[in-house]
Amino acid sequence: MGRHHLGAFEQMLLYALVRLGPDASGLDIARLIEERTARVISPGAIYAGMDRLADRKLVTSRLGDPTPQRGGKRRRLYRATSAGVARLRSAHEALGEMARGLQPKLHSS
Amino acid sequence: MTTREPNPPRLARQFVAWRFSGERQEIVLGDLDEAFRDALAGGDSTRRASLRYWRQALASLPPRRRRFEASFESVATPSNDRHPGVLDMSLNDFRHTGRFLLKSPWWTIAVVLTIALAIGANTAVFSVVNAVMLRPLPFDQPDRLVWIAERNDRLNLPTFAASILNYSGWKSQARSFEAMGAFGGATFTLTGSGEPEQFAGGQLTPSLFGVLGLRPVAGRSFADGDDRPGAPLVIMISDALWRHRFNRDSGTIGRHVTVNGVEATIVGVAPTALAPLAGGDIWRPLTIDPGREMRLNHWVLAVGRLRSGVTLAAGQAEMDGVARNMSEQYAEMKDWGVRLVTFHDFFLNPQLGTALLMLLCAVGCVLLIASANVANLLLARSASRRREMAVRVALGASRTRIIRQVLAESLALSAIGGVSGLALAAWAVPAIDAVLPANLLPVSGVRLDVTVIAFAVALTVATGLLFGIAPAWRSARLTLTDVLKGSGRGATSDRKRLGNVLAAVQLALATMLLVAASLLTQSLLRLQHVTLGFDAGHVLTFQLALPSARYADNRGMQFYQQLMTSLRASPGVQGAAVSSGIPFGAGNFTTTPIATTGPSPLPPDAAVPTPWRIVSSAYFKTMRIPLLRGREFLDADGVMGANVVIVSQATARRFWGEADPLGRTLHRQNDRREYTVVGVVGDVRHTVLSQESPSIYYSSSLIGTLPPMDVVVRTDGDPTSVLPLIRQQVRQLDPALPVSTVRTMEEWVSTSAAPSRLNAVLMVAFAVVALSIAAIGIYGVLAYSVNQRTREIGLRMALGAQRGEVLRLIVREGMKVGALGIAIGLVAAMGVSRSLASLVFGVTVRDPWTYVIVAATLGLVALAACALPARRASRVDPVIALRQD
Repeated sequence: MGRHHLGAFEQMLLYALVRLGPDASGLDIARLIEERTARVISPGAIYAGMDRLADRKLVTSRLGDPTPQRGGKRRRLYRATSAGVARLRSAHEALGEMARGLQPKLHSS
Repeated sequence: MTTREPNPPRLARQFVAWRFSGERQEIVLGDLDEAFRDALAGGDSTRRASLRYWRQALASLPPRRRRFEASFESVATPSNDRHPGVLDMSLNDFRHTGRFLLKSPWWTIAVVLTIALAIGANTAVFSVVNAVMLRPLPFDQPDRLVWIAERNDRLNLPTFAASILNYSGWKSQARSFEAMGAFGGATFTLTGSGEPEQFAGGQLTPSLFGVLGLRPVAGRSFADGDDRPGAPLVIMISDALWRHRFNRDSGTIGRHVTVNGVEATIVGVAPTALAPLAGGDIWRPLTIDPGREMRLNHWVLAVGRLRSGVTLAAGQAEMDGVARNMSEQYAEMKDWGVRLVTFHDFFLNPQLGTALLMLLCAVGCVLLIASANVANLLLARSASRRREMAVRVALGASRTRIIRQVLAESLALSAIGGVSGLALAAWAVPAIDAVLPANLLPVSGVRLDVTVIAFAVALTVATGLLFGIAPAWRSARLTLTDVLKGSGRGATSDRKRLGNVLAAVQLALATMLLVAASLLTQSLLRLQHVTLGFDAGHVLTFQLALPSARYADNRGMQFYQQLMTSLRASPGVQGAAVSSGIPFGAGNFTTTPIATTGPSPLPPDAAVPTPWRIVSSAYFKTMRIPLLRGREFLDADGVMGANVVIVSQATARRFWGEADPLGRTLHRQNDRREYTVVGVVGDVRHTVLSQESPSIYYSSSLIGTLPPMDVVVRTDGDPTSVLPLIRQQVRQLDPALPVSTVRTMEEWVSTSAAPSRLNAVLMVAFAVVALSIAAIGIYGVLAYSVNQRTREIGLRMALGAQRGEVLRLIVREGMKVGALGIAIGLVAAMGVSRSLASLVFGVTVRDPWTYVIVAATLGLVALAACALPARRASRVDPVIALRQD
């Protein structure tokens, strides 16, 4: 594992990118995670996580155009690279393997 | 976007802008703004959207962000902080710090208390320095204001009050001034609205408010014409009087009251800023009637505002010329000149400035000692953590990172200490303000203001860095090999040397403080046992101010004679007398140039300004001022038409040397009337305890009385017990006359020693604190050294060393440091002692005995501090000691 390991928060970000498709903004991701997990995340946290994923070439990004809605500021738009999707898939499968058959136990305790 | 759209909270935006830079800032701000507008569009209230904005902004703080991520994963994340550097503490540093401080709570409490005491004391003393020396004077452009004083070098009067005639002359001739004003003291009895009451106050030229740039709080200030002789009397009152007697009623302006028996109109309320200059509660215009003034009657203070661009030196040069012209024009002005004194120097008398700076230096020393001590304690602790630090370095912690952590620890310590110290000061400063005798400081109100708090904060940070730097620097130099290689001997001796130096510095500073404290204490003791020249015990004093309108001619005289007769006949009263100004009191401190005729050591026709008092019969007996020659005044002196005076011994010596003064004559300079000396009395200290003033006394029956007059009553028992009786007798004679300023003579004397007492008490307190901290310092160094050498000591004892030898070994080691510190301290104290010269009395600043005793005391304290560790060393069990790792 070591530096190839995907943290839970990083997985969360990749799931969001896959669900949202290309050109998702930090705000879109924060909203999605909030909707689905009821956790409020600050933009700072999102971007710090994205920086780490980008360092490992798991996501790419580009600058969008400024919009009046944002007070004339640009947004950064992210998409998962194929390596990112592959890494998420293997992490997902690993977790699935670990979780298989545990449903009754997880819900009983 | 139809009407004005609500904007995101500005402060929160600035916060985010501060947190992030560059593109990241733009994007995060964009996200927050977008979310804000979306929320509004979605029907949220502005408040709700702003709240959410704030929450998100604050969540971008590093600790919050980390904690959030940590809830997802526990892998440390590289920092994206905007301000990386040694001082950029992160949550981790503080968590470490918290753990470090809680590990030994008693150690932490001791350190925090030390720092809190030192910072609290510094802040408190600084608050006084700030109030007196730093806060700008409450006048418009105070740097252009000067006191225009008269001077006479031959009479050794560097600055003296001005006479009205000279003031008028200056005003018409000098070109350097935009405006000039003058004021003199006065006392007022207010009747016609409530109980009769007596107030201090002054007479002001109408120009004075303009010169100072002051505006009345209500109503108007005096106008030209108000000061014309014969003009209807108008007065201004103080804010305090307006409040407590008139409930701040706006109808007070224009109201008629009776002042000194004369109808007067209240035209305005003066601002409190007037108080430091011309204190009091009631002011009237200073009426100038040149026909009735004497050129040598120095009784007003003249102030001027220099024209912009005119320097003090230029103003002084012009006034020198003006004074020269006047001394050529008027014979009596020979030898008199003019000196301009800036308002800064005027308000800050050099002795007060010296005292304050001395106290500030003293508390500064206490802080330095405390810092050295804490540094030592930290060093000792860091020694026991060397392994921890070395391991962390070996595992890849950067040097910066280690320094940062150690600094975080010391900064946290100093911050806790500083906050506690500030709390201490917040409690102490109002207490100081309440305890300080009125008139000790030229300003009203010592308080914690922004400057003082900023000072405390700066001090706290500086202290934290000061005592943190040595341990931090040492920790960062550690390498694992050093630590593992036989616990690094070089580093240990290095640390010990640093510890010794710090302990010696503490002792040296404590020595200096102790020398100063002991000099000031001796001065205070000597001041308290000074021969006052009178007996202050069992004497009650009070003031009466007879309104001149109702007590014209010699009716005042008759009033006092009646009062004295009935007081002297009262039970419990030994004697009663009247004086225009008792020593140390609040009466008239009058001084007039006096000359004599006939043979004299003085040059012919020389006039010497001499303090004078009007006193009744039996004054000297009541005050127990010894009558050395001749006789006291009699009630009959005035009636018999004999112009007689009594002089003090020093006056007699000044005018006639050793010749017999009885029968000689004196006269006021512009007054040919001669007064014959009928008695000589002992010298009395009048204004300051450290100085006797030569004086002359006139008989009250001859000169009449002044408002106010001091009445002294000598009693059998507790002086205050006769007060009801006194009130009753005064009321019988005049129901409209207030009895004011009631004090015992002992209270007056004690008040005059207040500054010296305050200096001494504070210095002793600082010295004791310094000494105890320094003692702890030596103890700490030795205890650590004994700890380190347990093995060595055990070995020595196993090889046959006796307990006594071990004891001596350790004590010798400690006393070497102690003796060095004390020696340095004595030399340094000798060096700075001269600056204390103006504050000590009756002892020289290099009094050898003081130094010997201080050195001995410190030596004993140092010895005591060595004793404990030495005892422990002598009890080392060789078997156990040798078994240690």
